[in-house]
Amino acid sequence: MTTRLRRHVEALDTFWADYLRTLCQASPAAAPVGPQLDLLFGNLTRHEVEPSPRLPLTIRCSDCRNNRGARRDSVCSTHVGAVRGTLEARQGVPLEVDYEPSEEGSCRMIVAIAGTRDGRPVVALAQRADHVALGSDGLAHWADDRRAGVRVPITPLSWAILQAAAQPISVAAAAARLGVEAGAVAQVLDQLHRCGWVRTTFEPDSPTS
Amino acid sequence: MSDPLTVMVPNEGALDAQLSRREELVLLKLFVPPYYYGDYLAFGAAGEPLGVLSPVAVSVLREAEERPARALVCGPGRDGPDPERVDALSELVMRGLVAPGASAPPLHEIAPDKGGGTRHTGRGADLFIRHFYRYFGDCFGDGSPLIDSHGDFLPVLEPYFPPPRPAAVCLDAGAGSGHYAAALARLGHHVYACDIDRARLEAVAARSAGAGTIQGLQCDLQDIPLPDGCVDFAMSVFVLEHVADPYAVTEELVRLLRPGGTLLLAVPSFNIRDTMAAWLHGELPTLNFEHLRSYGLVPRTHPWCEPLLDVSAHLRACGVEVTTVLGVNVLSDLWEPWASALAQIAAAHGPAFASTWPWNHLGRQTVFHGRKTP
Repeated sequence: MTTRLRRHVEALDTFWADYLRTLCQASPAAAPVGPQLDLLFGNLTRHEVEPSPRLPLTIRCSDCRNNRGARRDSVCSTHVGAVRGTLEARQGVPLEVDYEPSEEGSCRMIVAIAGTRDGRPVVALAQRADHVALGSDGLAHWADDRRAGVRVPITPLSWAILQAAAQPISVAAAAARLGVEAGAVAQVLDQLHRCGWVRTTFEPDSPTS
Repeated sequence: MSDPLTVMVPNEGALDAQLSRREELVLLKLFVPPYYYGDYLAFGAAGEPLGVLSPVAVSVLREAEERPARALVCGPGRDGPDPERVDALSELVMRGLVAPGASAPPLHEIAPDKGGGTRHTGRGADLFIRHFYRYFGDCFGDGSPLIDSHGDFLPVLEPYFPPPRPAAVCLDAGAGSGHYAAALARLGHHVYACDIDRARLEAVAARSAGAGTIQGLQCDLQDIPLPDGCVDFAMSVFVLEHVADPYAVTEELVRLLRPGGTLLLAVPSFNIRDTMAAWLHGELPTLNFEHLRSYGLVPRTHPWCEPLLDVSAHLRACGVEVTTVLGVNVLSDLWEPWASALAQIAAAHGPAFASTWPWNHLGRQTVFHGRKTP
């Protein structure tokens, strides 16, 4: 998310997304999403985050004081942008927000991974984290997590995927290289991402990814 | 939808169309690295924020006073179209900010100058203050860290509040949402809450005053409609950085204080981000959402742009004995390795760190406390 084509007339939500992403990256928050957003907006509204282990994430704003009449455009545009920037900093992925306003001050935002950036499709690239080293004696495979100080036995498929992810690699490229189903690669990468062994970036699609 | 100007540019006839900007705009130069450096936050005539304009777009807007499109896309000193200006003009046309026509409403600009002051054209300052505060208050409510550290800052100020008994007459200049005025009232004091914006005063009136009372006054802070010496305690918390002449406001607060009355001022101060802006770019930031310091618009009269010792000297000249200059929250918002380096200095100084020169000047916020001499 470090490169982005700039427009000469940038929408308010884009500006606030950029601003909040920069701010949150400088001082990352440890609070859960809902409380973090409540804190950011003060008593303007309340955010209810529908529990979900993966994106898309649904956030409902309730009792919003200012999304009415002439104020709606600027307030909601700012709100949506700030939510997007905050969550992008947390998730490390480009996001898009589908916003459904309501007259009663109870609006819904659906936050999903953005499929495009600057009009170009993006693809997820996985890369093994620096603190993870791989080992194998031909029969057993393991990963050394230097941050946790532990050696963990892993399956040959996980080992092969982590090996392939020494450089950023897409699910499709890894599947092709290893000769396995893309779904299986994605499932393993999901687990590796969750335990912090794989970093994921989203970059515009290119033949090399 | 095809881009109107890129379609228009190859058409020699269309290039002769006379274009003008269509709306009165207030433009505030931004410093929000890495994305927005030198761009402008734009507000329309009715105070609605329109988004961010690139420097090229603003350059085109400045010239868009019944000028042919050909001249606008070429720019000064060029024979052919400049692709960036073509893009900028087409986006401005698509947003309706530039259109065929003869009249060009004024453009107000607020930007720092290289001398540490603020360049200000048009009546942008006054418009911007009103527009921006209405907008910001609409988007970020009380308790938001983007609104002057509300929740976190009260414990810093409370030790300087008058004790609950006897009840005192207090004044909160630039009360905003009334967070601090309500805290004073809960101690049993009578509080005048002054603000330029009626909507903010309505928010203050909706607050619980506890054992005390809150009276809203919609007024210019340089001309508060109260008699001399009628106030025991006056405070202005993160407001002086937003007014046209902070020293004039300070003098007005001192006028209202009775002899022996106390004054409490809190203003943002240089943080590392601003310092880097000054070092690397030779100018002061205009927009850092923690403290929108430089648009107050009287060059060289802003406390946060001046050495804080000068502020103290000004307060003394007004008849205030300065008892405390306190830098607050010095270690927050710093990036490595600055944070670690300052943490080591702080550890070496011990608890005195926060009040020892020059470290007390490095806080994100600075608090001045003083007493009006008899």
